Formats: sequence, structure tokens, C-alpha cells
Amino acid sequence: MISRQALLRVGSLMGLVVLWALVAWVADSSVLPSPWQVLMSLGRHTLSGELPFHLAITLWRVLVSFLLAMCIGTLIGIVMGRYKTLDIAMDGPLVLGLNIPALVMIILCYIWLGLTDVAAIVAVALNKIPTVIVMVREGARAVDLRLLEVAQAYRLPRLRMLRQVYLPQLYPYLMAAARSGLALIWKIVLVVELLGRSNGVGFQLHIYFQFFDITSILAYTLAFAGVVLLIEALIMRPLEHRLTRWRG
Amino acid sequence: MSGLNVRIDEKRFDDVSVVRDLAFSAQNGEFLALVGPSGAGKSTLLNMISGLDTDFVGSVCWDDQPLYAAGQSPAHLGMMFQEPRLMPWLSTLDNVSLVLSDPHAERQRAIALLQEVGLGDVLEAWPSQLSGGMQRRVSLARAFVVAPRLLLMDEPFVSLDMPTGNRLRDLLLALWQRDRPLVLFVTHDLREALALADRVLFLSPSPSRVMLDYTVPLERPRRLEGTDIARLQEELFRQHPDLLSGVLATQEAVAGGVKE
Repeated sequence: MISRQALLRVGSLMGLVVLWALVAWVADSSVLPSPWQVLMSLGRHTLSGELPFHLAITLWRVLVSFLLAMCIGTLIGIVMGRYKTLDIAMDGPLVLGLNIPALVMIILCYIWLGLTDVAAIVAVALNKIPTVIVMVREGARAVDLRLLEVAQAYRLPRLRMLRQVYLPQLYPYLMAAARSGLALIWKIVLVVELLGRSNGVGFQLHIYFQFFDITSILAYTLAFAGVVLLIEALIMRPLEHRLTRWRG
Repeated sequence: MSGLNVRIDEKRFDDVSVVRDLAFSAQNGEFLALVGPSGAGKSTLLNMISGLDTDFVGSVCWDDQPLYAAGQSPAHLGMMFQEPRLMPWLSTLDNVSLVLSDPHAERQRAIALLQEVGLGDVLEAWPSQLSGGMQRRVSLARAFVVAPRLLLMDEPFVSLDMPTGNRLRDLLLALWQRDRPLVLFVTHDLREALALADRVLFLSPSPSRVMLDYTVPLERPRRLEGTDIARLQEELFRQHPDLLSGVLATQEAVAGGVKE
């Protein structure tokens, strides 16, 4: 059963590569290199140490802004789900936050905070926080008060109540927020790097774009996609399984 | 006096008074049943005693001290609700040890108690894997694991079939006789009250107060389906027809299904 699933996952990805190879072969053009050429390029960039360096920097920015967005978004989401008055008061700004284009936030952060890493990370986090809020607020509204009453009747210590009674009810929502969050943050971090940083995958893509080096662009993309898939397979899916195994 | 002293002058929901001038006391170790028509504020009363609801005029005292003043030990209170209210993401054992003041150090006590209620084989099972009766047993074990001095039960065995309900009632009595907490047992089933309790308090329809404080004149063990209890129930209905009108409606429905 599990091996069948794995086979399906790998198979569909292999199919994509085959399709790519076929189209590249038919087109026979410098703007669409073959998978083999891209793989060679990937090897070269990796061996020179340049790709691992920029990838690590990008990953670090993703991690920091992801954690920042999740923490702040979760806190605000819980508060808004819990207190009706605050929910109403903050709903307007929230809708605004959801709809301001990412590019605008990025430009404003760079202008106001300077072309720094802090500005880059704040810009990415600001783009993600509103969606985390919306998802966590949904969860906080659905919290089962009857279970909280149990905690209250037995006078559970605050921390234990939070960890064993309250937060488990939010886990499905937190997982959804984390997943969609990573997907969004990957994309925005590259734009932020392209616009105002002098390292990272986004910056490198910008340079190769100027040289019209499609092979290198695809090599970086490939490395990046590989990391995303690894994180999904090694962290997100096992975590989700662990948190929801009681559903049986 | 020692034990529980409850005096609710008034409890309102918005403009409606649901409890007024309700007062009773109970001795340490006593088993008290509260019977009343539905909507008489029985659950509200338990919530006020447990401290879940503090928005009322009156006082709830234990040995002449306010029951839930700051710094009170949580080990004083066990509570069972109408539903088992287990945490679906915690195993049987973790659900019980959750309420201990030191879950790790006292783990063995939780295990021993679960074995005692017949759940020794499902310590690691999730609640969703347990039957309704088993879930109530976990809930019962959770209530007793804190060694409560006061045990509040809000129709805990409602909507169970008769054999399952009887097993749970026997289990409750066995644990009560061993640990002797003061039990407040809310039910709308008069026969259940007569089968379990030392004393039965009859509550009036809303705004509720105590209409009759009745000491059950039967020796233990008693049988819920036994003739003693059926006879006692009839006698009560004869002596207090108006008083029990609210209870009567539900009782007739139940009594119709009993064959003696």
C-alpha cells in the first residue's frame, strides 16, 4: 500500500521529466535545454560551491520568515477567534493585508527599512501573516468549549491545558497554514531577493536571466524544487501523520 | 459544618432567573442525588458548584471555606459530564493522567485505576476506538484518579443501554464505597437516584429550589430494576403528586418499558 503510493509519487515526477526531455528534443532550441544538460549544470554549480551557498542563504530566509509569520499569525488568529470585539475591529486591516500585492509590501519594506536582510524577512512575513491569521482564526472559532470546561473543572495548569487540550484542536488548521505558508513563502522570498539582496537563489536567477542562461536557471529551479519536495516528505508529512494519527 | 454547603440566592441568564433561594448541605462521604425536570437548571447548579460558572449570587463552601478560593488544591474535585468528554488525541492512559497534579510520577496510580475499571488492555487506545460504555469508564477513572473529596456527576450514564448502565453504576458505587468522596449525582431518572443515593433532593421547575429532601430508606445493595425501588417510586408519586409532576412525565415513559 505504502510502496504503491511511493511508486505513484515518483512515477508521476519521472513522467514529467520524460515529457520535458521529449519536448526539448523536438524543439532543439537553446531556450529549452534537455534534462541532461540541466543536470550537468546542476552538478557544476554544486561542485563550485556557489549553488549550495545561495541555496543555504535562501533557505535561512525562508525559515526565519516562516517561523515569524506562523508565530505572529497564530497569536493574532487565536485572539481574533476568541474575542468577538477584537475580531470585528481587526477584520478591516486583515482584509487589507490579504489584498495588498506582495510586490507593494516588498518595495515599501525596502524603502522604509533599507536594503537589508531584516527588510527582506519582514516583507516576506508580512505577506504571509494575514493568511495564517485567517486559517488559525477559523480553528480558534471551532474550539470545543466542552473540552476546555474539563480542563477548567480539573484545574489543569495553564501550560498543560494549552499543550494538551487547546492546541491539539488547532493542529489541523496550523498544519494547513504551514503547508500553504511554505508554498507562498518560497515564491515571495525569491522575488524579495531579486529586488533587493545581493545573494540567494532569487539574486542568482536574476543574474542568469540577464545572461539569458536558461540552463543555469533551470538547474537552480531544480535544486530548489528538490529541497521543497524533501521538506514536504521528511518534515511536513511525518509531522502531519504524527499529529493526526488519533483519527485512526 | 464539615462537608459541602451550597447557598444560591439567585442565578440569572439575562433577565430570566433560573435558580432562586436554593440551599442544601451534605456531609463528607455522602451520596446525594439531584432530581428535577429538564430545564430545572441542574447542570447550571453543578457548574456553579464546580466553579465553571461564577456569575451568581450566593456561596459554595467546603468545611466553611469558599470552595474555589485562590490557592485551593485541584485534587478536591472530580467531575463527570453528560458526555465522556475525553481528549480524542490522547490515549486512554494519557486522558486519565492528564488531570493528575504530576502526570509522570503518578502514572502508576492511573494505570492501577484503569485496570480496576476493566480497561487494562486498552491503555494505549484512542477514545475513538472505544465503545460508549468504555469511554464512560475512562471518564469515571479520570474523575476518581484525583482522589476527589467532591465528585460532581451530571447525568453521566444517560443514553446507555440498561446492562451497560448497570455495570457503570455498580462500578461507581464500588469506587465510592472505597474512596468515600461526597457525590452529587444529577439525574432526571428517579429510579436511578433511588438506586444510588443516600439522599435525593427534588428540584422544582425553573427558577429552581429544593422542594423535598428525601432520605432513601433502602439497604444496599439495591437493584435498579428491583421491586423495592419500583414500590418506593410509586409511594413517592402518591405522597407528592404535584411536587413530582415534572419528574413524572419522564418517569412514566421509562416505567412503561419495565416488566415486573
